[in-house]
Amino acid sequence: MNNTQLRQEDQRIQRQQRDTARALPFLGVFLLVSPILNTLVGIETILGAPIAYLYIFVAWAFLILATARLSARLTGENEKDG
Amino acid sequence: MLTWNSLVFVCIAYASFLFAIAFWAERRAATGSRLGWIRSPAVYTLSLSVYCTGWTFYGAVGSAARNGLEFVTIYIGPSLVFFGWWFLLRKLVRIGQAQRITSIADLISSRYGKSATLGVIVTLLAVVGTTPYIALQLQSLTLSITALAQPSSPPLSESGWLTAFWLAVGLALFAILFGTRSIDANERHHGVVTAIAVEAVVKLVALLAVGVFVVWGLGTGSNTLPLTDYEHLDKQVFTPRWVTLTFLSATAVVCLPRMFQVMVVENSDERHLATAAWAFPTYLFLISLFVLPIALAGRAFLPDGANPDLYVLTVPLSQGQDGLALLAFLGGFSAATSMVIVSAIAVSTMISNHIAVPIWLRLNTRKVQTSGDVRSVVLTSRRASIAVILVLGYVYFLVTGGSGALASIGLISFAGIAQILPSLIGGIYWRGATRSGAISGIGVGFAIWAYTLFLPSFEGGFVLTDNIIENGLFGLTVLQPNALFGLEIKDPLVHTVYWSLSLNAFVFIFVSLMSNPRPLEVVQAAAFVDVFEGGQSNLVTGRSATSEDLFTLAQRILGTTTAHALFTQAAHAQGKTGGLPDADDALIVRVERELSGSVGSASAHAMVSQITMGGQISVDQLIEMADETAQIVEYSHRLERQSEELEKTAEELRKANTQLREIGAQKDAFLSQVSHELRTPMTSIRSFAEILRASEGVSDADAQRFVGIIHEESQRLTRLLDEILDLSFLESGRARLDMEEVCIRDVVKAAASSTEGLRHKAGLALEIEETGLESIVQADFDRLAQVLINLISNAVKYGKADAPEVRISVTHEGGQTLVHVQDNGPGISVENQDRAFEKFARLDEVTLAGSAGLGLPISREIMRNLGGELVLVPSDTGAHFQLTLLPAESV
Repeated sequence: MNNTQLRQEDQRIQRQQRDTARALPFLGVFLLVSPILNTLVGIETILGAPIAYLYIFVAWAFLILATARLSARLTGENEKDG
Repeated sequence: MLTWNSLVFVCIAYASFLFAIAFWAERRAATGSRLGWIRSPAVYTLSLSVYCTGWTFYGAVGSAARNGLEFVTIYIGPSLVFFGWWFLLRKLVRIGQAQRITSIADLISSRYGKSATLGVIVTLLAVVGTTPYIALQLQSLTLSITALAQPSSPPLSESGWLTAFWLAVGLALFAILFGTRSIDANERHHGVVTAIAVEAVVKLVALLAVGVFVVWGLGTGSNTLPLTDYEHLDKQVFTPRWVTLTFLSATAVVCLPRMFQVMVVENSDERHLATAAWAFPTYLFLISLFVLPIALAGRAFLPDGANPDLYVLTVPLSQGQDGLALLAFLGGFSAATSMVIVSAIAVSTMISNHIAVPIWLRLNTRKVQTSGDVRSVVLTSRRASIAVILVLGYVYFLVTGGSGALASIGLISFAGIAQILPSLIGGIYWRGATRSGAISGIGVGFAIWAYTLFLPSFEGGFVLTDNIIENGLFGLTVLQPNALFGLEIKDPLVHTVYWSLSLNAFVFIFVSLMSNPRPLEVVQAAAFVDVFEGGQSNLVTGRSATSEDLFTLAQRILGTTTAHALFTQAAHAQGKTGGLPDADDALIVRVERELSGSVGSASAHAMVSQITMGGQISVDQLIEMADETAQIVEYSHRLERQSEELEKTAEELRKANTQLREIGAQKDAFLSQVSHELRTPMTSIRSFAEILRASEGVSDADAQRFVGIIHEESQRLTRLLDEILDLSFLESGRARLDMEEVCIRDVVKAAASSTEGLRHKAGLALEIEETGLESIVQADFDRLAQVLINLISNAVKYGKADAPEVRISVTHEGGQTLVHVQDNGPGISVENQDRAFEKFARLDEVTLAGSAGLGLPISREIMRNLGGELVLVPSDTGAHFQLTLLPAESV
């Protein structure tokens, strides 16, 4: 690949990362503020924790990890637009 | 059991520790450029935890005991906002830094044309929202102290009030001491932030310690806490309330004055946000991880009447873990105090910048203006405001203390401050949002909030009577506070948030569409919305002022030293060596921005406007600078630039293409030359061979001669092929060279002896000058000799003169050794000098033998491979070649 192609590829990846960063909160809303929660109510437990409780914290942890990965990449590049 | 005295001692010791930390951080910030970890992303993230107040520290467990999983929403909301940091928070922080924003009220005011009215409105909103919240912290502090020291005495007795009083005094002292040292938004409160960060760690450790104790430390059988008694697990989780609470807490993390303070105003580096984006949600995650287990343990181990809000303390106490209870108490103490301190600082900044300073300015327009006078007014008003806020909080605590009203005030506060949201979001993403729209929207939202939630929370004790709450204003059921427009939503919070925010947003958008923005609003809108596109417009406003006036003004607010530094720098930027800078537009804009960082944009604008003339922005300038049109023009400019760049690239490509084609042509020419050169000896070899084969009549002598010619020709052929091969090796840099220290005399001698026969035949004399002949150079002996031989043979071939002569001399120049080979022949004409080193170039066709002209190109390649150079020096008498050689020691 020559320079121009590399640059285009670079820009494409950057754009993709920024769009992912913008989309992440929506995924968060979908996971944590959603009727899915109502299907998990009940006293059944896994490892001593209620399922709904477990679900919320696992989803939460997942979102934290995803954000950590993304922001590490986003700060590595030149910030330009919002 | 902990005694009252020991608890007071612990409190005072802990508070002294915090004072010491804050003092130390301030000292470091003041003395050194090295702030180290005080400015690290970790401290920034920890300072954000001022979100977790005493109410969340104790109340989350209470909420979990009473309402199940609902408590999580208070932490999920902010997490979601931070997951979307790239979209919203980054822009807020960037705007905050570009515009020197000092508070959330300043942000709104600045965005909508530096409107003083909006500043006042948001400030009032903040005061109304914050005061009860501070009361709540005082209550949680008092309750926790009482629970720990005197569990038997009724909560909130006389001693409780006294405790709260001293706490309020201590907090005010801390806030005044470390929060009002400087007035510039950019001189951050390092002491406060560092102390808050330390408190954040204490909070987290305390809650985690209690959690770990509850889950793993309660002995056998208890690691499965009695879930069966916990009726909330069967309840629906996803309800309107769940959505509302998540939304409200998400809003709060952006709009709450204290959050805005630590997140935007105290931010020293935008990159810290990238860390906080995941680290702050992690903090919240850990804070909430053990809330449910603690609530379950409280229900299992404590009597039914125990207050769930104090489980964090009472669970360890009931298990005899006094130390752990004390740690938990310090956690709660940290949570409550940090909230009060930061809130007091944030709100006092608003009060001083948006209420006190404008009033003072109006009263003092005619008085003598002295250096630093505004600065001292600002500082005094901030200190007074902090005291007033804490007094208000204390009074509120006295009046409503102990009533249920206070317990729910946290969310009521959130809902009140959330009224800023539509104007905030609209302000930073929508150019069309206007001041009138923002004022109407916030006004309507605030009114609905007060009417349906805040005032009814006093249960008929304040403004709204029981009757109105029950039956609506004027007896109109349509206006019933808890069922506006007849819409019955069971949860009053959901009801209020729904109506207030939807109508707020609707009115905001509608009025914005109907109204025309003033010029300054358009300018600020562009600066905010396009902050990432360099939207900071250097607007030519046509204002004029004298430098002296500007300097006086800056002095009054920033103090002499800072103002002096600012103006000196500006003078330097204008290329002046001393004196005041010219009062051009850029300077006026800059001074105004610097002042904004201290007194808020509206006050700064008003002050600068007082001393400047003109300032009317023309319509043309507006279109030029700030409108969408400008963006389009800018965009087309950018396109133009891009196409120019493309053209340049295309031109370069064309050039490269031409070069390639030339090289191709050269190669073709070379090939045809090579075949031509090869054909001549081949033809003669072939013809003599044919004669020998065909005819018997050839005499032995002739045959001998023919064979001799064939032999000679094939030798020439071989030499030619060797030369071509040699040249290609040299050109590709693959030739093997034995670099060694070589004495030039030896080389010249070798070259002279091997050309002796040739010279003799042509009658050419070789003159060798002695000077410098002993020089030692770094070279390959045989190759260097080859070059000299080539040059001498060249002179033999071309240097036709009556008494042909070659002169070899050595000189030194700039550490390099130069060998000159000159003949006295006709020389090489100027137009041929470029071609001299081309392959097979026989200049002017004056040749002795039909040798292929590879000697010079090979010689030059050898010299280049040796790290030197071979050039043709312009000369009047014959050809003059110059060899540049590396001196011996340089390798």
